Amino acid sequence: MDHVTRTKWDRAAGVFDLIASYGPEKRWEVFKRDLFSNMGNGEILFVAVGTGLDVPCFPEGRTITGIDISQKMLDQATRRTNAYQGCLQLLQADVHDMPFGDAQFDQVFTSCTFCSVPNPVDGLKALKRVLKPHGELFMFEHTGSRIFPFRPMMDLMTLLTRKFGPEMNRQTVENVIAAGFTLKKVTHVYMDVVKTIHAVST
Amino acid sequence: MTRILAFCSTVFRPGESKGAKDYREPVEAGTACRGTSIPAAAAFSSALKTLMETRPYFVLGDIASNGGVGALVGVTCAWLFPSEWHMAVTMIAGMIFGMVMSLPMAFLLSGLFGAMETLLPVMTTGMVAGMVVTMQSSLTTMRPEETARIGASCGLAVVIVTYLANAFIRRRATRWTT
Repeated sequence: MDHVTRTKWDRAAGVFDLIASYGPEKRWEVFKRDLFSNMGNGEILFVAVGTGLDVPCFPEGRTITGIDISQKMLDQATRRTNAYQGCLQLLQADVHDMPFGDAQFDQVFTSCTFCSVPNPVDGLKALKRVLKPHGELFMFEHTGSRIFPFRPMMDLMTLLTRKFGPEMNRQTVENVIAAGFTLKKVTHVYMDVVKTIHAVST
Repeated sequence: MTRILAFCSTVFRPGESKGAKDYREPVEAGTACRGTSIPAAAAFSSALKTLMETRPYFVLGDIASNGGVGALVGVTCAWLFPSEWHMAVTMIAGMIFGMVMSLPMAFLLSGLFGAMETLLPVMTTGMVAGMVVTMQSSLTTMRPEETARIGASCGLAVVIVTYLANAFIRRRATRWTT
């Protein structure tokens, strides 16, 4: 397990809801609900469940395994996951080294996850391993921008934010392709920065 | 007029990659109503809502955040950079200072009004307000309330430009995918 990343998110767990639970969640809620409405009846893996902010947006009655690298984040998530009307199991795990067999899941969902995974392409390859052939990957992610002046701004922000949280300038769509997924659809939520990504394991 | 509104309702399919395969039925009225009979005004309203943020809390929050940060950056830059400096030097210094000064304020405001939707416009406001106010103050002597007004105006202009840019990018998603 990546101890540096785990320690970083353990430290952030106490204040994470204060920063992210109101404005960002309210603003993105409608887009997340739309994305999570794609959750099917098979085995679902949710990567980086965090403090469970996304759980209220999940459709009821699904079978979901939620992982996070930080046990303190998972402790915070318990209240929200207990309220979920379905089967939601939490597990502390690093996306680079998941304790799951090959081709175990029908769908994988992420939400603001791959801004924080240290080796994003390796992490996505690990998701491909646990997905069944033609399994689906659904992501809600913020990425870097191509637009001036946002690009240099996000590079500047990343110098600060990578110390205590996410990186702002990741090229997640390219990383998904580099990991061997086939892109099905990319939807823009805000500018060319916040996106939903639908890809298929081939 | 009805034809224009109906056209808008079919053209404005925000945020979709046009070349990509659509894999599910549309869920929101007005986002994909080609050939349907949704009333034109309702379709236009729906299309507007899907292209731009229309919830009053967030619209007013964006205006207040950018206006307030613009005013603060304007006053600080005019006070900090002497009017005797060469205009080009003060503009560049004001632009960099404004962007850096707005960064912590943007982080604080993002908890209330949304992450990227606050961070990027507020930092742009800091940059633009710093540049414009230092340029003005190198040309003429200004009172603090004037610098605040110019800074706040820059903030409002940035809100309008980012809303329009967001609508444009989401409508033409394919070009902005990677």
